[in-house]
Amino acid sequence: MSSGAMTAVESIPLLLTGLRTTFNSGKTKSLKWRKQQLERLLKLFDEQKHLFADAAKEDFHRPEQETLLYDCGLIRAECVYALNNIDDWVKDEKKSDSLVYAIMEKYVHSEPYGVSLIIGPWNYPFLLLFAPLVGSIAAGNCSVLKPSELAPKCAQLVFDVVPRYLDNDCIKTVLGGVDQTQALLKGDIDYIFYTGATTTGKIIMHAAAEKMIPVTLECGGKSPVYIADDANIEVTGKRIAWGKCINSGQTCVAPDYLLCSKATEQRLIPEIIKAWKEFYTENPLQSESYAHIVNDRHFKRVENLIDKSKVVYGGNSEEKHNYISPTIMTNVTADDKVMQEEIFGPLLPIINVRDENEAIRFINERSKPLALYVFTGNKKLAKKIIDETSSGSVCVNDVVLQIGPSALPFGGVGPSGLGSYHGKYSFDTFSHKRSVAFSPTFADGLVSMRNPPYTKATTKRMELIGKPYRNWFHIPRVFKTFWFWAFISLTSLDPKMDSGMSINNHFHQQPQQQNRNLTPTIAQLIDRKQLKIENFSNLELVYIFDQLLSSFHMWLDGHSLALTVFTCLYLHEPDMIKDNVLRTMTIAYLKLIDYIRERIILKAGIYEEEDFSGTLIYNFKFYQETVKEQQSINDIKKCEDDLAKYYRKLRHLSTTVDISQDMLYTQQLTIRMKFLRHLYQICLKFNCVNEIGEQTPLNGEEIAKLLKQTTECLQLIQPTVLIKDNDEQEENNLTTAINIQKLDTNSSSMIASEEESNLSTTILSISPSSIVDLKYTFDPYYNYRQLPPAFNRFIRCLIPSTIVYKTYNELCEHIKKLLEMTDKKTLQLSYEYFIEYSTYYKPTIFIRSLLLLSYLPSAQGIPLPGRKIFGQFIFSDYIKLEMKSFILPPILTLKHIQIDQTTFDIVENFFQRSAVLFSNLFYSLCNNRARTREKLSNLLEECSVLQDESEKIDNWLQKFLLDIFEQQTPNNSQVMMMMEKTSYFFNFMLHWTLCIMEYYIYLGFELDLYSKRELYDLYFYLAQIILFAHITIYTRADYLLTNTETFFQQLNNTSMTAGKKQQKSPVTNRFIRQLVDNNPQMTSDLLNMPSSTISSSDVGSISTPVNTDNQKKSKRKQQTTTNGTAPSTATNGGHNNNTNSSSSNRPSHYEKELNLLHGHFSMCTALHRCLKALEVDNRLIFKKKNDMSSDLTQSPYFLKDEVRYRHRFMPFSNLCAPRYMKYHDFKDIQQLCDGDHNIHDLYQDSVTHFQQAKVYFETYLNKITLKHSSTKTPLNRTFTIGFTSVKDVESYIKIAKTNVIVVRLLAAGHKRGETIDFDFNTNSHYPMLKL
Amino acid sequence: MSSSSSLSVNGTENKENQQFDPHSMTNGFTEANCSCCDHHENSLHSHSISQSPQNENNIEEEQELISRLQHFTLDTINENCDQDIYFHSYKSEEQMLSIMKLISGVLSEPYSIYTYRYFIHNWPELCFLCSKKSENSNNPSSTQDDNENELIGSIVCKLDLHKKILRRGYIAMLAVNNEYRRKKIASKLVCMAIQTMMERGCDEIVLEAEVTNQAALNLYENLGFLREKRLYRYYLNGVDAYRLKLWLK
Repeated sequence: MSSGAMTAVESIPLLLTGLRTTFNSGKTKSLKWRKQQLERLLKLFDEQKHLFADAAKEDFHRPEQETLLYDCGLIRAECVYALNNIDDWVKDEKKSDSLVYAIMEKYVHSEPYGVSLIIGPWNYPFLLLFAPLVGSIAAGNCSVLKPSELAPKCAQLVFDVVPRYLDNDCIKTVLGGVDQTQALLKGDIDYIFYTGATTTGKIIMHAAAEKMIPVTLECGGKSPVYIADDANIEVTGKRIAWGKCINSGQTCVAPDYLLCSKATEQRLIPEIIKAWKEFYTENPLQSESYAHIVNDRHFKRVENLIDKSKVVYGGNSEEKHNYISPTIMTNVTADDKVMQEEIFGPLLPIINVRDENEAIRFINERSKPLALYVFTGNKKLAKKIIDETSSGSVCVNDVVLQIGPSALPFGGVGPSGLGSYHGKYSFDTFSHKRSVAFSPTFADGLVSMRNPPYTKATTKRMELIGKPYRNWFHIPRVFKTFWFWAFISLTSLDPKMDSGMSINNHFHQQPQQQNRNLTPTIAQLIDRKQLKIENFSNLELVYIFDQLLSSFHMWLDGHSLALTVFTCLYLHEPDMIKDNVLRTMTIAYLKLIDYIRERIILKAGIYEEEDFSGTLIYNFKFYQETVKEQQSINDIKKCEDDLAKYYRKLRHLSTTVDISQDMLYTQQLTIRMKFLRHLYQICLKFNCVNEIGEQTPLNGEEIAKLLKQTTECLQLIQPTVLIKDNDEQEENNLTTAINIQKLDTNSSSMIASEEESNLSTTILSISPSSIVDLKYTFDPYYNYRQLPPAFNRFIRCLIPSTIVYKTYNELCEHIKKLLEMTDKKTLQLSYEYFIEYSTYYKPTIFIRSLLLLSYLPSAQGIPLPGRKIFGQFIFSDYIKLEMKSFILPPILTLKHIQIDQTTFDIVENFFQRSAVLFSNLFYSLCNNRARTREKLSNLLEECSVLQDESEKIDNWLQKFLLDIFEQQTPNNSQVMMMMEKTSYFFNFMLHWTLCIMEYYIYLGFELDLYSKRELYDLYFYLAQIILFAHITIYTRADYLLTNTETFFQQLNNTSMTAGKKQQKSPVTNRFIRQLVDNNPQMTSDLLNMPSSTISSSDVGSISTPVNTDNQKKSKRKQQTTTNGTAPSTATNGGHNNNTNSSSSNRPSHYEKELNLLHGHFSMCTALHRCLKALEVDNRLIFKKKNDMSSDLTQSPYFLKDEVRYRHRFMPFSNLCAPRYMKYHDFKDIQQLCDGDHNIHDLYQDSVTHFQQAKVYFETYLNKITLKHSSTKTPLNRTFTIGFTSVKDVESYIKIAKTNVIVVRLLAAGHKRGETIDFDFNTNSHYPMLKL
Repeated sequence: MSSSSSLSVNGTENKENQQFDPHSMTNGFTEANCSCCDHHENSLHSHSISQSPQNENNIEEEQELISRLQHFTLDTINENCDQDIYFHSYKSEEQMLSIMKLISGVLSEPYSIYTYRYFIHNWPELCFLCSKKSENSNNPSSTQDDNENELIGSIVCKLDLHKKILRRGYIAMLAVNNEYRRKKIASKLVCMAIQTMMERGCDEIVLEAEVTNQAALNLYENLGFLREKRLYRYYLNGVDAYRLKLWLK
């Protein structure tokens, strides 16, 4: 029937010879050619896609969209994927192996086979021809395309269009059928890629076997679908309906037959039919979306497979159009005709199986299929089926889709095919992997051992070095940059990379002074008597100690080891030092560094690329094994004793000679050694391990004791300062150059304090002449050769020791503050503590690591949910307690309920998962502040998942509790109602989500990230969505705590008394029991309610609760709008609330929090109103310029507001609550809220809100001060609730006060037309308006 | 904040380098134009088809933006009082030395010659220069000979795939000679770069600037760049930086 043109069989050998010549010319091997051809192919399937669609439509009524999407689209995707990755693919793969082959250069080189033949089928006439071609081109082959003659129009089109786009010398098309194919197979080809029927596949493989040509065969097979009873039937039906009938079932990976239970079948069939009707209307023959069977022969074959007696739907056919309607057959057995061959048509037989075991058996009894589909909601079941069967590919809960991702190989197994392709696999398929090894001749001495005559000894040695070891050493890939620059420096072989760098601003101006092309070793330096190793004076030692300590401090601050401590040459080879004190000192430093690096910084895992402290160690030795920690400490102690002895001797002598200087130095050295010992001991207390390798919890008392001793030492130390005695010494360029400008901004405060310290502390002045011998002790360039070329080569000058000792004082302060952490018994308190710590202490990476490790020991070691807070308390228990005290959920409060296994598992699982979220939260807070913000945005993703979970749990628990209460016949129906309606878990999750969102936005303010034009959006979103929701949550929680607590108490008591009749009734609630068992020391807290003394009469006194409705989102939005449009009601509400709580004199549970949140809410509202007014009033600079769109020269602003909004609030977009407000909604709502008012109203409203904010904040402050004055503890201004500290609140009040005045002036029209500026200096959260 | 006297704009490529694919470097020198971003006709085209009709809108808007930019660039040329100043594209290696001289004189960060080569050889079309005609050659046709004229401003950029999806433009260096500040030269150079990148279907443009460099921050924020992140101790001198970003899509 194929009427198309044919390639003459005789011309084929010639054509192949042509290709061979081209291939031998090497043209196709060039990367440039490959990329260019792939680009062209991409272009072809972009520009001519409609031609392809038309051809396929003519051939077998294929819907255009199917060709556009599945053929052209996927081919383009393959091209792009190849183009993106080809650079990686073609690279030689370097290999490492055991020691004996270490000197050989080894790699795997991918080379093209030569001429590849690609035979395509007709069903996807382009995809299955060109997708392999992408691989063939990428691998650098010449190719022959043989499209299927059964789709003649498509074949002709390929023949016509390929030469116009692709390189005609390298890629040819052959048209025709069996004869042409045979001629090709006999010809001079190197690779065959065949897609089509299994029978033909066998013939091809046979022909290939004759010439030993490698083949890839992509065949078909009956791909089964197993549908478990728990599958989502609606989705399943739709997906199967789609997969079965794209291309009218003529898809190799189409689902062939279904396996399911009778019951599922009953539910499924209507869904499939429904989907088909939706897709192709009642009469698919008329549908443009429905393909027909390719030719008469196949039509007959498929029609013949229909067993009319088993058809429950469809079964119609129309010979003229080769049309067969979508058909379902039931009660099919393995013996039916339809089960004997691949259907390749729109027939869907269903075979009933009882369960998955029978399905697995059924599948395994047949040939391995190309694809296997499983529909189930149970991952375990899916895994089981996957494990126990075999197929080319598997897709769970969908069909056909698994062939989409280019990263996954596509191919069959057994009769369904041989080999695979797509993406990188295509490249590999068409490449020969060639091993290459270079054996150097210089190493013949090593290799000659293998030569005869053989002896026992050489055999043994050969065996030894040739032995492959387990866990063979791999080169760690620490920094990607490193390799990048290493590559550059190797290829360019520039002996001095520095030549291209303008090094002009560091203190050491004589890099070329000595010939440093060869860095001398320590031993050489000692030989040359340049490096002193004995007979140190105590003054010299003191000096070295201070220098070392200073560089150690710089290292702690996040600089590279090589540029800080290891600039001291003694640290490289401490063993060579003969002086006992110095050797002990250097080894102690090394061990201290190693401990901090390995056990603290790396363990905590919060270092970033900007921290160099931990990651690179350049083969420096750390005496990990040779010197034990305790031994090092003992050594220091011994030095101290020796020095003390020496001091006593001196004192004895001092009666006769004046040796006061020497005495002073000795004394100072002793104290310094003691200080070092204490510092080391403190570090060892963190993250220490007990005998069985477990982290032990922080021992606060011991650390506090050590800290005290350390600070005592620090007080006695007199820092050294180099005082130049005269000018001629100036050239003596020693390492302490003090260049204040070079110190970064962070230390500016230190400089200020330095001046004070000069006055207060005694200084140990040293004249350079006395340390002349130490000239080579510190060499900032010593490690230069080890650094990657692009590495930060600048050494910040050493900080003078006067300042250094101050910073160690601070360090002690920080650690002391850190110990307070153990008092934080709830998550909320810990969260606030972490925020407070990072805001007010600006800790270094060292301290931040300590913080994290003390809170969650072994952060990186144990899987997340297994982490214990302080190494003692199970994280999920902490969350339970937190939730219990926050909102009093019945499931965690009622002692005498029976919890069945399922409920227990569901709830427990939730807590385990939220443990991951919470531990990540603390991890995030330990990053540097700039990073914290990024991490928080990632956390919000996790929050959204848990929100979904919590909603489900709430539904489940509501049912569960309802059952329980029905049995118990409760006495308070009102409270019952309320409990039933409350989503406890959801509210809890929402509360934390809001906390994170708030901190995320306010941190942006603190980091100064927002521009003026964003302020309006930000304050609006904050007020109307985030803070508003948070107030609601707190109010609800407050209400619940107040009203349900007594009820729960009663319930617990009644069941207690009821139980007493037998004996003391045990606690039956498994959660409470578990909590008690795990945390025996908390028992009393657990069993009792959060302490509050409310009489039951108070319950009635609260008139209307503020909304306990269940997160109806539409309602929420409405609330927001009404709240916005009618601000007066909101303010009234606020006032009422306020007066209510104060008048009834009832201690509200969340009084402080609510006060703060209301304050923030008013502040934000005031600001967005004010901003709107300013905008309308033309008082904002950026708006003014932007509006004059004609005058582009002033300030062309290229960012669209919508784009900006979308990107800025991206992290919030996935949350289910508070629901992300789309830009258009946002526009509408803010129009309703602020837009309708005139300027005066807006200003007025803003004033009211500022005033209100002030009142709220002042109330809060008064409460706090009152409380503190009653307990007689001084008010800590950093004390934080949420993210707000007392210090913040004080400045908020100031800001609100000022703003009230300014806005009033503005409203009165003061200085009309002048712009307003925002001053964030008072507090970064809110601006002070400035005229 | 700091006065206009130091408009050293942005700095090191140190961290950004980590995203470089070392291999693109091997090809970079010889086959600079092979990276798929640079086939702008293709990429723009495929872009338009692969997305929903809603985005056709965007394309139109984009066109409009581009034309606005062109408009703007023309305007400043005419408006510019100093007739001797003219803008041109990078042409050859001969200009490299003067670019290096200009930039290293102004920016705080030291770059090796490899950094310059990496950018300029790979993306020569994204490097724009501004020169002043030398006094001895008043002949208007002599602008051809750029090497005789003094280079007073330059911008160096790149454009490649970020995380394999986003087409991200990156402004690596921008420098204007001290004597020629406050003439909108820098704005003009940035606009030229933005325009070229937009024509190439760029999704977003990023750069880094020191937190203290108020002049640079103002310049970019006026063009719509926003501070996306703060980078802790980004610069070698220990100062934090902002990552500024202009979202185009």
